[in-house]
Amino acid sequence: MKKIKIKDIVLTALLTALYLIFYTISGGITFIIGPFGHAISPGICGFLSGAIILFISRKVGKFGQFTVLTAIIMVVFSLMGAGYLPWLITCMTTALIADIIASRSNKTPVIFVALASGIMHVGQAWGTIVPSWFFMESYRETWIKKGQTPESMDAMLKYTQGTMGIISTFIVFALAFVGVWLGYLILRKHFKEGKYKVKENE
Amino acid sequence: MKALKINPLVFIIINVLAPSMYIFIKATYLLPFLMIFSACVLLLMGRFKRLGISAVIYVAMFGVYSLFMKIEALNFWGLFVLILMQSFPCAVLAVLLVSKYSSAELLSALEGLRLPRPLVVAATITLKYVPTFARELKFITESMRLRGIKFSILKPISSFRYFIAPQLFRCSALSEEVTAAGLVKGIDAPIRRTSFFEQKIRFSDVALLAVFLIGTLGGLIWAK
Amino acid sequence: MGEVVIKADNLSFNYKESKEGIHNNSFEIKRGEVILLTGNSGSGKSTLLKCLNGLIPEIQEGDISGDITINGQEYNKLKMFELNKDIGSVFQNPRSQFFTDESTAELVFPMENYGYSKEEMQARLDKLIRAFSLEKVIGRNIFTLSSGERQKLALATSLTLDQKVLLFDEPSANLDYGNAMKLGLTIRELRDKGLTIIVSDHRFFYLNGIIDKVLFMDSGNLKIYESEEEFKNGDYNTRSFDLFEINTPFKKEKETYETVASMKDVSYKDILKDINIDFNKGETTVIVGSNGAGKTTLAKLLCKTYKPDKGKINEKGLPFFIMQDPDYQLFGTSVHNELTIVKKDEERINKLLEKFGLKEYKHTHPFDLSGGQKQRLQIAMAMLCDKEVIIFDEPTSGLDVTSMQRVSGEICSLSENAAVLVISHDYEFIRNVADRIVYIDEGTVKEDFMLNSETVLRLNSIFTKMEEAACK
Repeated sequence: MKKIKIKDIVLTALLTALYLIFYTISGGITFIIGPFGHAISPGICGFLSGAIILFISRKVGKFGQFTVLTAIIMVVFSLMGAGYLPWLITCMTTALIADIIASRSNKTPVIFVALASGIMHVGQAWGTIVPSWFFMESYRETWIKKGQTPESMDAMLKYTQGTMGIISTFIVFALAFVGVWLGYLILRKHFKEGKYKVKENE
Repeated sequence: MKALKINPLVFIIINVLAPSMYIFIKATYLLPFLMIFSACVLLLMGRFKRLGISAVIYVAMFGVYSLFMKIEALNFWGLFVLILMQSFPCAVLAVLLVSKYSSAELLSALEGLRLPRPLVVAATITLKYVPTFARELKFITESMRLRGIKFSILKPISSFRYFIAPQLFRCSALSEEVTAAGLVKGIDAPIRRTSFFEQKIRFSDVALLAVFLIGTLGGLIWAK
Repeated sequence: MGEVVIKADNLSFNYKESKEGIHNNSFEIKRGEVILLTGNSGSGKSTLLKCLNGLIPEIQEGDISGDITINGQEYNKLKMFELNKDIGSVFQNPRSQFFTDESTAELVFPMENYGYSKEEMQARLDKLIRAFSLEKVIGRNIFTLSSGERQKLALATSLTLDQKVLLFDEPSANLDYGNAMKLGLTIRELRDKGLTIIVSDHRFFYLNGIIDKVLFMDSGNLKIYESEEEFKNGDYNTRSFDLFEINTPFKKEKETYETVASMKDVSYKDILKDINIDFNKGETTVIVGSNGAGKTTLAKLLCKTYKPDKGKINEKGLPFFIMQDPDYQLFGTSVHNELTIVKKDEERINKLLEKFGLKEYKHTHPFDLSGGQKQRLQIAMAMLCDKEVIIFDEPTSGLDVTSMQRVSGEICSLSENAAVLVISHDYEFIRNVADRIVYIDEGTVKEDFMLNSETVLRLNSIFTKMEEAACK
């Protein structure tokens, strides 16, 4: 396994800049709308930036690539006052898992890269949902005092939390996964992969 | 009263910690506390206009939330508004952070946290190229127009391909030049980096952070 | 002339993937000398430069042999960061050489990396501001700086560690004529302060009279000229030293012209005022003017990127616009695919690939081509597109004399079927391609004439004027 070099870090930093532009496009004003935005946008972002993730895996292809990508994103978001602890933790953990799955070489099969991207983006989504749950729980009593029945309140909370949970896990994962495949369809001609492999001396 | 200059690190730390506190502290206490806290920060920094605007937005959000919670069919959306309100005080501080400090000041604040050098350098590069690339998106769409390459909903993949692939390859070409330019400027020197923009932590910074911590910890104890 | 600063002995480098290396180069550079390193593209010039600034072997894989020393210390015993305390480097691309978006942050960036204290940085900063008169540059967003200011900033940044040797990598590529001449003056001043300066470039008119030694590269082999005089008397085409002495035949004026596009009383913001120009088929019009005079705005008006505030532009369809940086314009997955995006005409594409020597690169990714090859691919695209107006923005920045002449020939043949509009400040190239000169200054057309043996003096005086304005 090759060690990640300064050249790779610079390339990753540049691609992260591109990634953040897609993040902004997909989330719009995510950092203003906070946890909810963070829960929805990773999926769209993962879908749009699949090509970037695949590109990193092809051009860097070394262990640590996704961790570096995520760490830069964390730093940038923290600088903008939009990074918070549970989010930092889940993001970094899933980035590390992504590296373990798909950073062995620059020829990692697309399915592993897609899996890695899916996990990473779920990590981004999850970190924001957990504190929101606690936040909502603490309002339960207030509403009950104001006349809501505990049953309807619980149903509503379950629904809200459930929706956020499902969106953040399944949909985010699926979108990010498909995004990498889309990236593959876009880039395979460029990389001369799959059916576009050019034979020598053609 | 003279407007206070606050170390950006204070804001960063507060925003990293505050939203997670909802796990431990009741929102009915924490949210009002954070609102008052960020309002005081705006006051101390002499940002009266921003304080006014923020207050109006918050009151409006609160109004919508209260209204929605009264109408059963809209209860669900009321909760969403509430979630938005949850992060409002932090968003106020975040906007203050981004508008008041340059990216060099922000980065040097992070260096106060002793982050690994490659990460600081990488973040410097990313922060410079986000606006650069955003500006260049115009060049790309412009040259697509001139070459007669149109975005077509019928061919989403190939349209998207024309848009993104050149940018990726450009990054790759650029990375060699940036690495070269960086190495001659010592980005990998094994010396502890210093920062020109670093601000000394002052009494006011410590005091502000202390108020925040006492306020939240107080909530942990009293507002169980 | 003092002691030897840099000494190379049988220095060789071979790339892993390409044949362009350097072979057994030996030379000495003394304190306070101005060295010109030149040669055609692919001659090994940039390889040697990378050996000098330590990027080889730091980021380039390959085999290095022989010795190279600085102030008696061997390079291979020095770490990259130690070497850069002695050698400052100025790169050519403003896009990739700055690390921050603010000029002060940029100036202190190397010092931060080297762990300077805040007081040391402030002292050094003050000194640099005085030395390079950066008062107006400091504290600004780099994006808003003019190209001359950017060059000044890049230069000052490369000397923040008080380096005594300075390397320039193709400094003229992104400078207009006036600013290049000004750079010549600056280099002279730095030399007088005792700095050793090495300039790698294929244009050197701005160094006339200040070169102490020429390192000339040819296929990886080094030829040394011990003085500027010796170099001028040598075999290499050095006439570009004195631009105005060039002896290029003028193009014949044609009898009739077909006007394919015209601008009538066009004004745009406060950049352009009442512009009237006709563009004719069969004619190559060169737009000259200082950076920021409104040349590119004029091209963008023709491309309908901007709408004129006043006046009218008549043209059929959009022009074909070749930007200065080809990297924004290439969308294809291979050279062949790039051309099919323009037009699916297999027969003509194959002919063009042949004509432009791109046949063996048919399947190569456009971004893997060299600068000159990208340029040729773009001209091939322009030939294929069958548009009536073709615009080039600075097509020769970064091209050596031979490639420049080749491009000139190609542009001339392109102009047989189209009106060609070229924005350029490359005097030699202009003399090769221009039928007509349009000089834009302060937003208006100051001069518009056919270039011939009589009007060439007018062109020369335009260049002198631009130089005076920049060096003021």
